[in-house]
Amino acid sequence: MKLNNQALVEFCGVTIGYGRNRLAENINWRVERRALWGIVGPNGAGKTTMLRVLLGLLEPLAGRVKRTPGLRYGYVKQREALNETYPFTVGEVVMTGRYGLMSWLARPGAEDHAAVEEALTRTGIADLRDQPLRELSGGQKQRTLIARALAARPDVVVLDEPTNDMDIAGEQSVLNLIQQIHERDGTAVIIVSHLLNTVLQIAENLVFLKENEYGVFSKADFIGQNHLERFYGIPIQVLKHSGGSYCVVPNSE
Amino acid sequence: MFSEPFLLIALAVGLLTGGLCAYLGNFLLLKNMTFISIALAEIAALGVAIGLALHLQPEPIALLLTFAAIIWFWQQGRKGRRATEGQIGVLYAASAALATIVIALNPMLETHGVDLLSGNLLYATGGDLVVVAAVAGIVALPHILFRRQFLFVSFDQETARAEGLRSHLWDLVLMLSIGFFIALCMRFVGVLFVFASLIIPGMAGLALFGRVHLVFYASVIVALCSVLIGFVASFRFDLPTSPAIICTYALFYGACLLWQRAKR
Repeated sequence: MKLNNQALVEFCGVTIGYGRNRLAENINWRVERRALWGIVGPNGAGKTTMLRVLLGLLEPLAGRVKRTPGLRYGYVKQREALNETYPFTVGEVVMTGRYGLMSWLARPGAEDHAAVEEALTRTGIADLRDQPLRELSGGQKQRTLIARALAARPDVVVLDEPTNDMDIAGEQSVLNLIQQIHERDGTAVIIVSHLLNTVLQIAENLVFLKENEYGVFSKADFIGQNHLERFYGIPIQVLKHSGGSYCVVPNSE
Repeated sequence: MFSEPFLLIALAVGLLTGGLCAYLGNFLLLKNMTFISIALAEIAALGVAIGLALHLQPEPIALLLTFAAIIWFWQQGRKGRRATEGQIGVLYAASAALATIVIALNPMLETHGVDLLSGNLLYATGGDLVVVAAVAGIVALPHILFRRQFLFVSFDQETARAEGLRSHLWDLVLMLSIGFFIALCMRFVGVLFVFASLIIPGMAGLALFGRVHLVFYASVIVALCSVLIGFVASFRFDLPTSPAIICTYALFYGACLLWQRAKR
């Protein structure tokens, strides 16, 4: 049963890593309803490891992850990790997002098909329903993965590097979709990315991971209090655009 | 030819094993575990050799060794450490060598027609056919009931787990079902037939169709046709049965590739 005023997920003194390799220790972090988080940091800092602990795919080395009973994740994995050996169609892939809701012997029913159709329509790929996933563009594959996550009617959508290798138009399209999901459904969203500028466009709060260090910030704090230079170790300049978005660039002066 | 009971029994065993191996092999292809299939086949063959050499029923020992290997592969996967091709190669080579040694130390096995590489389809009895059919039924049942879960964990185990499925357990049941069938039909058909049946019909299906369910159907049909044609050819031209079937698989696959190219 979901408790309205409590966090959906809470990290309590969590240490993440593998074996003796500890990537970040004593993480305390809460994901509230309707929150929009970014997990950022340099490559190898432990972002994906933290995501795997969040999803329950990996046990923390120490501490505990508390989850609201019955919590449903919508997981959008990296496109590069897609298995394209067999010609699964877009519709078939999105339907797998419903499998976690079905009992062992159940077959997809009317409600499942309706959820899939709704997810396909919301992500703008209903006309690709019968196309093999492996024949789609990168942006279309990304939308398919997002549709799969939506089909599960999740409480938290978790996206791993959703805009990698995308052009600017494709990236903006995906970010707009994510923002729409967050605003329309009130779904908590967590984006993991090494692309700080991408995450800064929509995240309200940030978890920053660096070797043996982590920080939890609101976006304003993160940008305004020189955390960027401390975490990246180089002079940083933050450019604010008239529309309210930010762009972070190295300061060459 | 078809008036001889022993030939009909051999053909029936070949159709059952070829058809079901073709279906099961799709999961191994989907999981990109092609070489594990030959390692499992060879490990099962080692179990058969040890069992026969010790004058025991070979199937339980074949099952034991095959299940041990599957559980080891599965544990590696759980820890995020997929078995490397080198490790699979070591298992295959060591099992093949040990099986050869076991047979060499027991010449009576060879005189009784034990051929772990090419199999002994023509030695299958009516009782063996009943056993193979029963085993096929036991293996087919979970695949009929849980095909959705098996496909999902083979396609994307990580997302399945994130959605709350016990994907590691489903994966284990899937792999054990495959190992179960391999271990129990190994004695009749041999390593090469098992490996070829697991891989080539599925590859032919992939060349023919762009829908997953059609790939599965096509792989089984290719296997059944290849077994029938290869069996008849082996009788007609006095060829070893399993190798003749395997060559027919390869010819079918070649034809499918040509058809795929012509379609473009």
